[in-house]
Formats: sequence, C-alpha cells, structure tokens
Amino acid sequence: MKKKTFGYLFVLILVVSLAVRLYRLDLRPMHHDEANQAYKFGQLLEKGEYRYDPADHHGPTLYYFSLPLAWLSGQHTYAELTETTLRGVTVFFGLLVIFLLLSTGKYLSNPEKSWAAIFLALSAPVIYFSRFYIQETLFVAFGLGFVFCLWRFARRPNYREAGWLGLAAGLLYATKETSLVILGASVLALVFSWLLSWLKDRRHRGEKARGLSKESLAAVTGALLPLLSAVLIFAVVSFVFYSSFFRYPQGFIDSFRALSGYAQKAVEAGGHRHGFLYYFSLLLFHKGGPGTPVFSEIPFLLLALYGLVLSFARLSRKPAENFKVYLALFSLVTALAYSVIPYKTPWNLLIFYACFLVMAGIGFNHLLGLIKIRQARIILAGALLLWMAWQAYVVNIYFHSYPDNPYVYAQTSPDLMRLVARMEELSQVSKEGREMLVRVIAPPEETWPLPWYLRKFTRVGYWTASEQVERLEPAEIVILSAGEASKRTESELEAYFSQYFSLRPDVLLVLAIREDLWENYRLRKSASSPIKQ
Amino acid sequence: MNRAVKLALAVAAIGSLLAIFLVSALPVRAQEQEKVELKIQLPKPMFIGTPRNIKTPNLEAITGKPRGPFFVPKGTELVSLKKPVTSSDPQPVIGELSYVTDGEKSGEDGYFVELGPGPQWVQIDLKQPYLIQAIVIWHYHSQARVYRDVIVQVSEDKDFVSGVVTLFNNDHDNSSGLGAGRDKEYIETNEGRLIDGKGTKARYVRLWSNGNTSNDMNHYVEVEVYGQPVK
Repeated sequence: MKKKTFGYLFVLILVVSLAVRLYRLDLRPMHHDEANQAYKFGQLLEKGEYRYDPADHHGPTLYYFSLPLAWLSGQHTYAELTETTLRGVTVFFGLLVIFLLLSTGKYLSNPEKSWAAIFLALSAPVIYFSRFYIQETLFVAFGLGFVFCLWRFARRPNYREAGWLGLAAGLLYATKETSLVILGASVLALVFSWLLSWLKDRRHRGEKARGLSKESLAAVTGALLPLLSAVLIFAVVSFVFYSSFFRYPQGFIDSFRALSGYAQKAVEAGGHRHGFLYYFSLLLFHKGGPGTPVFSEIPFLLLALYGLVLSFARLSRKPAENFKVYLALFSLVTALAYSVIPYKTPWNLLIFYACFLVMAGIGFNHLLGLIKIRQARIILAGALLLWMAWQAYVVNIYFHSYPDNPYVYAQTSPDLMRLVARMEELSQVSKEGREMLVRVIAPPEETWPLPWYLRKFTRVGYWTASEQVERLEPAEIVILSAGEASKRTESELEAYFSQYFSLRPDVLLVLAIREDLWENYRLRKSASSPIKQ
Repeated sequence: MNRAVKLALAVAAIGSLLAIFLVSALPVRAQEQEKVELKIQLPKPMFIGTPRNIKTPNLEAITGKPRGPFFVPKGTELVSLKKPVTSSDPQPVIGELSYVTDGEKSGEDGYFVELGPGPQWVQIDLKQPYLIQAIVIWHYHSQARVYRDVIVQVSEDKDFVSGVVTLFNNDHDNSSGLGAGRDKEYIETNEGRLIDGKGTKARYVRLWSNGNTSNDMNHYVEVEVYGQPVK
C-alpha cells in the first residue's frame, strides 16, 4: 500500500468513525454513572472546584478534558450542559484510540494498521462505550498509548521517547488509579517477549544460556536516566491532575491510598460479581428475548486468535522484531487479569478487546494475503464489514437501552424520559415554572440519574428516606421510589395525582403531582387533544 | 296506658322491625345463593420485588397477598377460550394474536404476543352475545411493569361505533384520545388484572394499551372473558 493511499484511507476511517459515534449521540438516556460524572464535572465547570475522592469516581482527567468542549459549546453551568457535549469528549478519545495506531510506525504494516483501524472504528462495543460519559474510553486511549510508548522506549531509550512514556503513564494513572494493572501487564509482556526471543535465539545457536553482553549492559545503563525522567514525568503529570492543579496536594497521596479500597471492592464485588468467562460470554454470543437479533463478536475473536497464533508463530530471534508478540502477550495478560477479578462491568472489557481488534487486523490482513482470487477477498471483506455495520446498528441504535443488548448494564429506562417530558410540561402549567418546589424521596440507588435530568429545575430537594420528610406539601411535584411511596399515608397522597415511571428494569418511581397542578395540566391538555369520535 | 298494653305495643314494634329486616334480607340471601366464587387458574409468579402497598388514589395498592374472591352469578363460564382475535396491529412483532385466547398464561418467553408501539388494541369475538361478568388480563408478568392507558370496552358492534360500554379506563390524560378515565394504574403480576364486567351484554371485547414502563410495545399473554349466555 502506497503511503499516500494509506494516508487518505486512514483519514476516511477517522471521518467514518467520527460520524458513527456522533450519530444521535443523545439517543440513549443517561446511565446513572454518566449522570454522576456529569455532576462532578458540573461542579468543576461552574465553580472551578474539583477535589479527588478516594472512595469513588476514579481520577480527574475526564473532568478536566471536558472543559474545552464545554467552553467551545458556550456552556458554562451544569444546567447548560447537554448529553452531546459530554459524550463528545469520549467520542474524541475514541478517535484518539484509532489515531494512536499510527504511533506503532514500522512495527505494523500499513495494511495491518488499516484493518485494525477499521475494526476499532466500526466495532459495536467500542462504539457503544465511546458514546458513554465515563472514564473508560480515555483509559483505553492512554492505556494503548502507554503500551505503544513502552515498546518504542524499549527500542530507543532516549529522552524523547521517555517523555512520551511518562506522559502516557501519567495520564493513564490520572484517569483510573486501577491502571496499575495495565502498567504491570505491559511490563510483564515486554519482559516475556524479550525472554521468548532470547530462548529462541539460544535454541537456534545451540548454546547454553549466556549472561548479558557488554553492549547489552551498556544499553541498559544508558536507558536508566531516560527511564528516571519518564518516572518523573509520570509523577508530575499525575500529581498535577490528582492535586487539582496544585490546589489539594493531598489528592495525589490519596490516589495511592485509594488502591486498597479498590482492591477490596474488586474482590468483594457485591452486585457486580460475575464469573471468569463473563467478558467472553458477552462478546461471543448473546441472544435476548424472542424477536431480538444475535449479538456476536465471533468473527473478530476468531481473527484475533488467528492474529495471536500468527504472532507467536513468527517469533523472531531479534527482540526488536517482536512487537506483535509483545502486543499479543499484553492482550492475553490483560484479558486474564480482568477475568480473574470478581468485580466486572461490561465496559472493563474495552482495554483488552481493543488490543484483540488490533490482533484481528493483523490476522485478517494475513488471511487476505493467502486468498489468491481478488473477488473472494472483496466478498470476504465486504461480508465482514456488513456484519460490523449490522452489529453497530443493533447495539448502538436499536437496542441502545434494552437488556437484550449484552452491553446494556443497569441502564436507565427510556421510560424515564417520559417522566422528564411530563415534568417539563407541568413546569409550563405551574405559575412558578421551573422554580416550582420538587421533592425527590428515594434511596441513592433509585435517585440517579434524576439530578441530571432535573438540573434545570432550581428548587429540587433530595431525601434518601421518607422519614426525613414530615409533609409532602407544599411541593407541587414529589418523586418517590416505590418503597418510600408506600410509607406515606393515604390522606397525604390523596392531595396528589400519581403515576408510575420506570427508572430501570424492575425499578419503578412514583411521580406525584399536586392535584391543582394536575387539574390545570389536564384541562390544558384536553383542550389541545379532543376525544376521538 | 296499662302495662299489658305497653308490652303488647313493644312486642308488636319489635316484631314489625324483625319482619321488615327478614323481608329485606330475603332477596339478598337469594342473590348471594346464586353467586359463586370465580375460580381463575393462575400462572406461576415470575418476579419477586416491587410489590408495595402505595396508598394513593390512582395507583393500585399491591399488598403482596392473593387477590380476594370475586363472585359471579352461577353458570358463569370462560367464554373467550380459543375465540378469534383481531388487532390494530394485524402483524405482531412477536408471537401470534391467537396467543391472547389460547389458555396459556405462563410469563416465560414464547407465550406472549407483542404489538407495535403507540396505542394498540386487540379485539376478541365471543361469537355470540354474553352477559359479561369478568375480564382478566395478563399483559406481561415476568417483570414489574405498568401498561399505560389500559382501556377495556365491550360492544355488540364489531366496529365499536355504537353501543360501546367502557368497563375500565386508566388513561388519565386522554393520551389515547378515547376520553380520560379514572381507574388506577397497576403493576402487572401473575394474578392478572380482574375487571368487573357488571353483567354487560356484549359480543366483542376490545382492549387498548399504549406501551409500558419498560418499552413502547404492547403485550398480551392472555385475556379471559367470563360470562353467561344471553337467554
């Protein structure tokens, strides 16, 4: 493939991946985790305030990198923010994941890079989580960046490469404290790839194990200072973010202290405990209820397997030629590590699955090379692309929030949008508009993402238990979890008209509208929608 | 007035009251004797949780206990089994319209028919007029769901142009355009929703819904109509 052709093709892939990620970006209701992150970012946007919380929410890069897009969109308050602005941030980092393939330079051929880029651009789960305002896509971008930079540094241990390595590590750590798994897995993959080539070399020479040569020792010694500078840059970058740009230095220390908490969470797992094969069961084959399509990444898993086998089969005696072995080892170690950890959520598969897709690109390119008939190559590639497009559509558009989709996890029900729409209609009837008094009485797990959707209402109070609220009145609207609603007296609720709305599958909320407001709303509505004859 | 007269008057008064009570009670007893408890075969429950006794005027209280007995005139029988079903969505997304009256009430996959989004109806032709005593509806009961704008109408006119009687309507804001109703929203359970037919004479039963709290689709596992033949 000519360099110019490759350049045009790569730009086209980036444009297509941007288009599919931006299409109806606000379609899926905000997940409660997204709403939570949006609230944290809203605080930073409005007050310039951020303080690292070691108990939850991970690192701050998501919030700080959201600032430019919010400013560019002319949004300066939490209430002004939109889903498109927030998810636009993760879409950008989704593109960065693809763009980073260019940094592999000569270690991957241009056709291999192209197929890997196409697979990353159109992969259904990769698109799904690129449109999700949580840390994961940033984590994958910085994670892959670190993996590539570590290889480049190992090959050329100079200060320039050390700078990139330190920056990638710092950003990765500032995104999620738990990135230590990625840092460890990549170092392990590097050491093992070197070890495998050394063993092969020894077998080839028929000699016994040799110690390091003088040249090798000199190279290691020469790399020490650049490595130290990489560590320094890592420390500075992560300190800058965790300390909220030097305001709260304690945040940096807390990020390390948080590790024990996250380790405990990973083991205890609670409701997020899933078996060893959880991630592969999501990717391999999933069938929802009757009438739903098959969700499967089998073609890419098979190609990734082929790419892995191919990489190991082509192991070179020269460590410098074993980038693919290094990447294959990293993919396997990471997949294994994440599968062993009992705490699992679908988005955690993204880091190793992105690597699998790169391996699939390597495998597919080789497979096409084996097929001598041009038309057969076109049919095969076309069929694969059609399958990807179909999967991308059903996962991201048609089943965006429905449990039939394997990547949908504790997702907010689209029915909640009806509650939000009704609130908006009621505010137009109420004399006080969006300043009407609203009470939300529900435990935290049945409250989010309401704070996001009610962000434009200026007088909203939140209570976690019914006992904390003596009287519902004079609130014009009360939103209660079904459990808390059952604690209110009949006479008190008689003053309200109530309706059910779904927050998530099997979780219902009660929207109680003060009778006078409901009557005004009903009269206005009946005037605009007469009875059918 | 001497004591004997007073006593006679008192006895007469008590006797009269007793007679009035017995006379007024007789028809009630006679009616009660003609009524029997409606026996409904229930499918096994599919989910645990959510049943809460919410005491609001327009949400049905869910006690978590079995529904109380419902009495119907003796001779009332299931008249909808295997009867033909038509719908506003003649090509269901999932299942077949015949599922509505096939007698299978299981909440598992493969037992429900799914109609398209928005207001949709199914209509059962009982093949002859009956005095409808009860209608029991199971929309979908493997998840805690509420179906919106549930309206149940009966008529002797298959086009529901004339002689339409609305037995149930919880479309509080008239979003289906058939008029606002005052009946309560309810969460689907394996017990189904029992609607009093009040002995209304009709051949056709039409049931409306407008999506549910989980998705925009409309579902039916089973509908049972209980009635007596018109003599």
